[in-house]
Amino acid sequence: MTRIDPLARPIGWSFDFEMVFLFEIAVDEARRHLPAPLMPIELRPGVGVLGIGVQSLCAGNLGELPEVREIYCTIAVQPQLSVPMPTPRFAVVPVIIAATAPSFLARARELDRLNAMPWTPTLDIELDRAGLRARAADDRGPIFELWNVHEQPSFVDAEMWGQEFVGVDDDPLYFQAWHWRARKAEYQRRGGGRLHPHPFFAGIDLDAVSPDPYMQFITPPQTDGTLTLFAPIPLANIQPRRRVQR
Amino acid sequence: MSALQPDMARHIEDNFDEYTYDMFMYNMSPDPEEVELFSKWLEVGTTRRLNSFAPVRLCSRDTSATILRADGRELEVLSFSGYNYLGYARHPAVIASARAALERYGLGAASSPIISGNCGAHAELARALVDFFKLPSHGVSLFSSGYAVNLGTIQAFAKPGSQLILDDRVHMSLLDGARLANTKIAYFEHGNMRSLERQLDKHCDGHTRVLVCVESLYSGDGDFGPLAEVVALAKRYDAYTLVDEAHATLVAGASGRGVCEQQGVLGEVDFYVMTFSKAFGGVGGALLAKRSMCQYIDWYAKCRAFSCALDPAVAGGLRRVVELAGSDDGDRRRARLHANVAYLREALREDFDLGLSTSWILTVLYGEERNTVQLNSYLQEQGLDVSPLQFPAVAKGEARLRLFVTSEHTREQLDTAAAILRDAGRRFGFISTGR
Repeated sequence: MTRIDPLARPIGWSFDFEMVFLFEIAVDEARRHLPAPLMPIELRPGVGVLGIGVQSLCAGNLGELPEVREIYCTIAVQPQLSVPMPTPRFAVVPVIIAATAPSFLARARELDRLNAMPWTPTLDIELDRAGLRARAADDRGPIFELWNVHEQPSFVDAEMWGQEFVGVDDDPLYFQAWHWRARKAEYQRRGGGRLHPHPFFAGIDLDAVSPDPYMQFITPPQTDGTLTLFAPIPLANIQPRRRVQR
Repeated sequence: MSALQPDMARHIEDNFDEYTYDMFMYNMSPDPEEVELFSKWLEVGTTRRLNSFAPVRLCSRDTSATILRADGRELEVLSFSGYNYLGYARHPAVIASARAALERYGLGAASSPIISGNCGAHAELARALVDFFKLPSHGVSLFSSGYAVNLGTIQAFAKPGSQLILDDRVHMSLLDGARLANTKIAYFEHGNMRSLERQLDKHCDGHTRVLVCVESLYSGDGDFGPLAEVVALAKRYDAYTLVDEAHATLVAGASGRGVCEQQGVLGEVDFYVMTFSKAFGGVGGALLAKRSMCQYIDWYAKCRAFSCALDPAVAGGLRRVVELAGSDDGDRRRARLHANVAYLREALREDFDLGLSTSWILTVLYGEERNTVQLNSYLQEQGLDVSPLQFPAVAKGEARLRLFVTSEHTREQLDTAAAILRDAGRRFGFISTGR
């Protein structure tokens, strides 16, 4: 089998703010939204991880995109450690994304194979950077609110490797590596988020999700961040059956 | 085993401090690459003389030890990392009793307790425990490990269709027991009685067997559980209660009968779980419950029925521990322990964030997980052995050192420990003052 390089064809994105909050989700509900063979991470028996995030992408990405605000919903899954890349901090399935620029969404779907909520001009992603708060809504109603609950978040330089498993429509499953670098504060506190029933959640039963998040991951109000996405590769191409000496 | 990819190995070397224990826990690949990654991480730590975890104890005394690190260095350390809270692990009378049982019964039970592994030492230990707790309607089920008590009890009692409600910070043994039982599982926020009541209200329908599982003393934070309130709520909803007193039996309460005694609910808890590897100074564990329940658990807890019985020599030693703990000797040791804890807490509280601890498990928060490896290594080099705890065992950003204080630590040793911690606190930036 031809060796596939999962770190080929990187594309770098500049961003200046991001908030990702983790909620507990019943594992049975998480599994409903995961394609085989992916399995959810369990914090405790029966409890998986749902990530809700918002990112502010700088103007000028790819040379032509405007400033874009993106929201996303992910489920944490087991990583694929046979991939020749630095050990990932975590692996996710992006259940759905939404964004303020139609060109960004079209590209995300076509090239990154991400499920995207159809673009609507009514999508409003409001960022209160100084207050470390974010809110998303459209003409169908509120989607979510996220807000910092730590008295003194401490920001440090950080970089992480991660994995995503993606695919749209009848795609086979694709694997995508990413690398993230920015300043961030990460802490574990209950509170600081609210999710609302909305088509954005793509059929996720919010009754199976904890009412508030347990973990928060935020950048400072203004950061010089880079997210490098590597070209998606069919997962089947990077799952070699190797002979191992036991 | 397939060799680690060069880039993956180099990344571990270059970013050693960024790696944490949880990053090796999962892998969807058919090949166990996580094993090689973890091995590489340990190897890098050893090469850099930072692998200070699970050192070999060449010589162990009550409060100090000679340890052999993975890098070959032998260090003399003050020990605050063991659970020998009352010093019974090396008590001469306990050793003598264990030796006598060893001579009488041999090295091991060599059989399951439901076949031929049950011996006189077990019966004597069980009687001693019933006498100690002064609950004549109760019996004792002995297990060869404390972990197994929770696994086996929950698996035997909670049938398919039952409902378990657990404090969301309970020990892994309770989580594994819940998983093994193949029942419905719900969690309530740690120590939050409104959260518990919401779960009870949701799941207690009069037709479902409901078991609430909590600990009396949580070893991550060193805080006590609100047992009186838990038991009262559970009774109101006709739910059963299991209290894991692993870190509190023989230590808490006026007579050492645990936090259940301290909070006045000793006879009201349905399942009282104790382990013998802490204040008892041995190994194994036991369930204290109504006699008929223990009889049932004896036969239906699979990890008991299908495993070897508790070692008879250990049982012989434990019997003597129970006798001592229930006497003036136990009262004196408990008093010394509580005095030592108060002394060390006072010595540390102005310099450090001691978190939620109100017990003999003192926690000193240092926050950043990335400091763990260097910090623990440094502390050992300075002569102090403690127990660090970080994500995912505790909340992210709240990594801590745990000091298990015992009755046998001297004032001099407590002062030395405090001085070493202050030095480390200045070096690693987690000390509050300029001292």
